Amino acid sequence: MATSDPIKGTDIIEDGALTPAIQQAKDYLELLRQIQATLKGQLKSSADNVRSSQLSGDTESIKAHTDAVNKNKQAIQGLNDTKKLEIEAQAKINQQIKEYRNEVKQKNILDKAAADSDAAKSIQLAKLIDQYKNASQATKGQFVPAIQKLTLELNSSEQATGRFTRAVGDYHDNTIKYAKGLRGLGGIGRLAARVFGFDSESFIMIQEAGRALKEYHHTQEALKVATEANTAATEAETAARQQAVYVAEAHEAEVAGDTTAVEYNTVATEENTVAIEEENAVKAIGVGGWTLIAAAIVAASIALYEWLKGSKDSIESWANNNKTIKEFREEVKKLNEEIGKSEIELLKRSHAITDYQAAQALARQKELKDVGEVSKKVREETKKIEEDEGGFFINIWRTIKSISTGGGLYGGILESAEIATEKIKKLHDEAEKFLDTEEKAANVALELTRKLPAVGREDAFDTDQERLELAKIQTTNIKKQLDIQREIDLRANEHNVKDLEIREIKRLEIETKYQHDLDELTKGDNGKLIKVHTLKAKLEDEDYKLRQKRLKEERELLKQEADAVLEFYKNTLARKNKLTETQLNNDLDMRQRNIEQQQQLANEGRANTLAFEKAAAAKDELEKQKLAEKEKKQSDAIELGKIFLKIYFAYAEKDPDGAALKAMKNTFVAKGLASSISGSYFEGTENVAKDLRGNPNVRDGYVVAVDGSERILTGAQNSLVGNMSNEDLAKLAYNYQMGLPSGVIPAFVESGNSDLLNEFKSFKDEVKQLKQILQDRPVSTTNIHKDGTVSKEQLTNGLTKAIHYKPSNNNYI
Amino acid sequence: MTWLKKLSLTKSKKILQNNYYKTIDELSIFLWVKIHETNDVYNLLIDKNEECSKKQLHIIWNDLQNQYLKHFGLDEATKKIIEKERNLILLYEDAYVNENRDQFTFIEIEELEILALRNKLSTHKIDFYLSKSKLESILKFPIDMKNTSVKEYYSYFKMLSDGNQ
Repeated sequence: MATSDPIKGTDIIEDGALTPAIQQAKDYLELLRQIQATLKGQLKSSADNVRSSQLSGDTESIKAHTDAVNKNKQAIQGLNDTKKLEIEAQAKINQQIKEYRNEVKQKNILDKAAADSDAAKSIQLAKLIDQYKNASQATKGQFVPAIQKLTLELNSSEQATGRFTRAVGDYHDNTIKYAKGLRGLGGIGRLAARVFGFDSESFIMIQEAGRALKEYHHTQEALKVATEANTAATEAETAARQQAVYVAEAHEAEVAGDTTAVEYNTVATEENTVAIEEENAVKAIGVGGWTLIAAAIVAASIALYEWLKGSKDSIESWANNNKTIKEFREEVKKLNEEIGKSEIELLKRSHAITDYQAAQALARQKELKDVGEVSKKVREETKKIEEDEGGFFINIWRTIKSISTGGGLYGGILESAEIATEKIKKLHDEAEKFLDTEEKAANVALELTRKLPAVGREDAFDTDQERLELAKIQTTNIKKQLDIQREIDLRANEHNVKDLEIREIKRLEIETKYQHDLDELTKGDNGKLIKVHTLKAKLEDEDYKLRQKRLKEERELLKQEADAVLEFYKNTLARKNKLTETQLNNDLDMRQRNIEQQQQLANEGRANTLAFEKAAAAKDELEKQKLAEKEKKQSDAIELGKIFLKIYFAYAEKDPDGAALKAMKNTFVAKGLASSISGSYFEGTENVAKDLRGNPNVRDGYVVAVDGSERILTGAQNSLVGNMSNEDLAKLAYNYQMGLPSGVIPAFVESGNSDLLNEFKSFKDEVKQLKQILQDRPVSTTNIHKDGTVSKEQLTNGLTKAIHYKPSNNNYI
Repeated sequence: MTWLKKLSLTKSKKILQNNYYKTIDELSIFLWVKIHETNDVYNLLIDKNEECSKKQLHIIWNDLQNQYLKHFGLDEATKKIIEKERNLILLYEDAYVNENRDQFTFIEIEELEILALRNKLSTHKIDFYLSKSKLESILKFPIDMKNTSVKEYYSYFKMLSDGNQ
């Protein structure tokens, strides 16, 4: 069978992948350096002349001096020019190496994802094959679809990623082994491959194979094999399809001259050779998996055809004895038609397999793309988990709250212990996952650095290598420490849980014994009742003491566990932050070197990436700053948690139910957060929702601190008060209590506002005047008599005036 | 062709012996300045109609300059320039061959100083007639450039220079 040996990402990049470009650059640099060496020699020669001679002062010596100066100028100009070219070339090389690194890194990520996926599938396939082997003949069929599906997926994946890891050597050995035992069967491998390729020589080769089989097996035995293999072949149809795809692709690739195709072909041929040379095809189906199944269908086809063709003599004999020649011919014709149908069917299957294979390749391509997206999501999720560190404190709070509100302390502790165990495991897993990622990243980076061409290394190579080696060692050490810590934590936790269980069992035993004794005593006469009560009281007292003792122990245990979790959490975060900081510092160092290099290019007016490097460095600095802020927040959260737990356990003994709330309040007060996080009624408020923070959507959504002498109104009562301030409300209540008038004006009078007093006086005068006007205003009463006389009485300021009118004289009296 | 060569040399020798200014005692300051300004070495010939190769005249001109240098020496500015240029050569070697980058600062200083000295020298040369006028004002008599030899003219300067010291 094939063995799984995933190819490493670094193997994908061939040695010397960058050779043409790098070698060209190296040659160029070497040429520049040779020129520089020559020019430097000229400078040295001039300097030696200066040292060894004095200027004589004649024209010849002055002329020689002038020539030397001019030559030196030219040499220096040349050195500067070559240096610029060298820097430029070096920058290009570095840029190329950087791109190369990124490319390799990306490939590694994809390969790792693909390899992980394939490894899981391989394991699943091995399990299915094992189940298939052990299953009965009747139930074997149910495993076949899954085996076929996984096999196709794996092969598609291998083809899509270009990874072929067949252990060809095993097939080779097996082939030699069988070739020694089975004369003439050496060519069956090639035969089988071509059979599935359906080329023009298929029938001839089938005949050859049939004869070869006949040499080895008895005809009847071959028939038996063929019959059984036919049954198995139906189940192995898809597996055979895959094999056919192998061969078909091998032929295509061979035409294209692809060396990989040769490997395909070799693998396919040797696999078929091994499969066909198995002593019993039926057994092969039982033990082999898809490769042997494929061999089985080969053997089945060969045997069937050979039986039909090769046993012609016996059939004729049978026909002569039992049927007419005509019937025999018809029978032969029918058989030939069946053979033709089988061939057509196989051809159809072959085409279907090809189509299926193409669809699988496309699916695999999509899967690889999805893997990239999944990786991205995982990174985002991890980041989210890291950022949600505050959730840890909330979990502790919830746990303690559940202890206070329901289930009893014991149940709460057990629950807490379980949660703590899960939490420890989760934290360890997260930390390990993180460290694994770091370690792998460091390994990859180190490997890449080692693979760098000599041109790109210079001084930075040694520094990078040392740094990466150091990071690797540090990561390994942290991981070891983490393993040890994990073991310690888990064992301690298990011990605590067991201890609690043992004590609970003891308590139950005592209670049972007490109940038993009570039952025994109450069975007798009434005289024992006193003893019963006494004993009961004693037992209750003992039970109470026991419970108190146990509660104390449980609290102490919980405290230790909580402290341990907090401490572990603190240490883990510190280690993680330290590692992140180290990475950021390393990045910053690298950026600084790049900036210096790019700055030099910029100063010379050449193309550069200075802005990018500076932006990247600024980003790193920002990350570093964020990390510092994050560390501060984490430290504050841990500190808050410690204070909370300390206060909680201080209250827990006296007031278990209210301990959590008090601890919360006092924690906030101790940390100076009372006014910002919760609220205090020290200053009073007319509206809680306006002045305090909290969740208004739940009942009792505000945590507040009140003094013993303060008053709290319900929302309904407060709505009756309306907009009146607490101050006015209190004064109103005071006036009411003291029998003083209420209202706005007395309050104003009391306040001594002279303007308002004047206004009030003026108002009173106006009322007085108005009253006078009303008194002076005449009020008339008019009466019409029967005789036509009209009388009118007018009342003005207390005096009545009568006026009469007669229609005859048409005037008033 | 040996005879032609001999003939040519003989002719040249004759000319060199008789028709050119051999020393700075004979050469007038007028011609000295003129040759410096125009680089026309044919001014060294006493008889302008005589034929002579330019190369030979350059040799004579070099000889006259050597006489000048031997007698009066280099002027202070030139001496300083050459001294600094020699120092500069050593600095270049240290900076580029030994890769001692600290020297670049000193190189820059030396180059600036040399440039300043050259500018000063150039200004001085342009104002030859100004310096002559100053000399005449000090000596209280006019100098006939055509009848004053190079040696005599610069001797005045040397005398005044030594007197100042």
